[in-house]
Amino acid sequence: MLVAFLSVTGMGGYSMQWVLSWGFIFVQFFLLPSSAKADSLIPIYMLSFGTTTPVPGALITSDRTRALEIFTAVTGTKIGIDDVRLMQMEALIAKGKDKEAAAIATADRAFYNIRIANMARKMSNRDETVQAPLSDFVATFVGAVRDDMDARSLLTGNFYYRFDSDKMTAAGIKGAPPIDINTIRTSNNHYANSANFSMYDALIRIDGQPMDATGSPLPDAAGLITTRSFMAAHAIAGTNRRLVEYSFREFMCVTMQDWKDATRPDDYVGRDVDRFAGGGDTKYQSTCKGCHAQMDGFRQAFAYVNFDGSAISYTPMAVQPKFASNNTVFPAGWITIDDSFANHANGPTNSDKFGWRTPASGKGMNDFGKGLANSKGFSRCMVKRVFTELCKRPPTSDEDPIVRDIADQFETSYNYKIKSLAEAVAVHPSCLPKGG
Amino acid sequence: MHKRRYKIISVLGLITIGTVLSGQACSKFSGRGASYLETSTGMVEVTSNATLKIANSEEILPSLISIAGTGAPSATTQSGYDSWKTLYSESGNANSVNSPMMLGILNLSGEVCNDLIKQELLMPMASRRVFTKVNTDATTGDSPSTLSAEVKGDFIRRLARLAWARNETPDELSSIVSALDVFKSDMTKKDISLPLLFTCSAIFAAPETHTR
Repeated sequence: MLVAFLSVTGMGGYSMQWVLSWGFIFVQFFLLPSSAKADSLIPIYMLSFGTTTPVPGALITSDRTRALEIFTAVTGTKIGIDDVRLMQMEALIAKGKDKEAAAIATADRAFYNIRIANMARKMSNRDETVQAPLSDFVATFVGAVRDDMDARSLLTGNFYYRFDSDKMTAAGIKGAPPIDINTIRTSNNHYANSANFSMYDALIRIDGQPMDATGSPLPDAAGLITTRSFMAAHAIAGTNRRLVEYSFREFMCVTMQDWKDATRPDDYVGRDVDRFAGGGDTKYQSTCKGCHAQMDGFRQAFAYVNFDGSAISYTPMAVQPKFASNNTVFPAGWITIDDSFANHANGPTNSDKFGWRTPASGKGMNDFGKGLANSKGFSRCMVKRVFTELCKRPPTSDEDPIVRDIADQFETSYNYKIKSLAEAVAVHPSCLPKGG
Repeated sequence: MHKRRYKIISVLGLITIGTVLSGQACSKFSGRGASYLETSTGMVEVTSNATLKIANSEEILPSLISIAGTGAPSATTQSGYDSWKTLYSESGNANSVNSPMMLGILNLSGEVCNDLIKQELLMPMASRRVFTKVNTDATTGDSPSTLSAEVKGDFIRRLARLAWARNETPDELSSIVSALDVFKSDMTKKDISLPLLFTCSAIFAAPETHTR
């Protein structure tokens, strides 16, 4: 084939050795900067990944193939069909112990470093892209799953995860990123520079999200919502409504269109929202109010917070100036005086969707996070996110009963552990059809 | 001028092998979706009812490393991946597959295979996982043209089980072995890694390796 190709292209007269030698090193001349041609192994990366020794004559059973499907779904990576882990999973599957088999896959580093990290990456940025840089949001999500924490703490806890130089040194990893609380507070460098390190191995939990250069803990933390990267994405400029919109988008899996409800009271709608757009109030009543009535009720939870371009600015007892922007549009609108908020997303339209279990009012970001975390909507959203990652597609509307059923198990049987949830989803018949 | 021509020819040569593999059922795109998939040789029946995806940009390197069992990638591999990352699918959806992405996958597969071969050929034969029958002894070792059918068949089988999770078919074996005939007798023992790289890259770059 290649000979024919070379003849056709007039290259047959050249030495084959030449051609293949160039094939051998072609990549060196494509795209790679000369500085990247060093051949030493970089002392980092995923550390995991066993080394499969292929067994050429061994039988490949359907249970073994099923084991690989589950492993790949859970970890996002493939391994050789003769890997010892697949043999263990095969034996369990043969006994009908599919979930136990999936637990072998969740024990692999790739489940954390690839699968959970990618899920978190999409939730961490405004574009919802998996190519977002590693950040405190992603590290905290991965760390909490690794440590088998209650998923509700992702929205209520006052902690974050960072890379630990001691752990890295102990693991034989060189080049640990510098750890400086002010660097972590004011930039993403600590995380961006650690993108190739194994989070499973190197993350350490730090209690108290840093509020200032001395590392004083943020008094009103709400887990992932108050991470630097989430605030950088949604609290920069604007009116802090985006924090509400994206909190619901990422943790309740609903877009603003999904939960708008023009029947809700608009008592908390701010002064910057025009009630008479186009000369009458029809548009406001039918359209604007549908979102603002609920969003502005929640927005006040973020009254004291802003992202100033490099760090979170938290001003207890002092409402951020952004809450008074464009305050002449409708001067009779609500004036935010503190961080007390109201949950107006509990009307007939949305009550079943969200399944609230907390009071309809609260104070501050932590209460806001608690409201979301303890709702049925959060559990269902986690199921949807895990399902979408592992099963290669989002659940269909016909599968809503399945989502609700697994969400109930997530709360009662799995104690809000995402690792257990992933195992259950991976082996659910609707995720990876047997024989598929 | 000649350098550039050689580069192009080299890449196209590997693409040719990739095309052979993907067009002759080497890489049947593992049939997902209960329909038909158009390939260079016609329509392939897709028999499964599961969703078809391929490794996305964040999964592709770890997955290749996992298959190869090479551990940390070399600096060259990592750097190449960083350079080509934007070529790979962000979503992993089947309809996001395009030519630049496949070329990027081919390049990356070549780099990971290069890491694998370098590691393996430094080991005694008994300690290797893939190229267990390739004799690299300075005196009695194989050259590209003296590799026996048995030796070729052994490493093709091992690579297939690593990347495709199955044995190669007779047609696939025949395609690859005949492609390896391009390695002529004027090549020496020190060139033994070339047919190994050639085979490994072709198998690792096949779409089936990257389906989910």
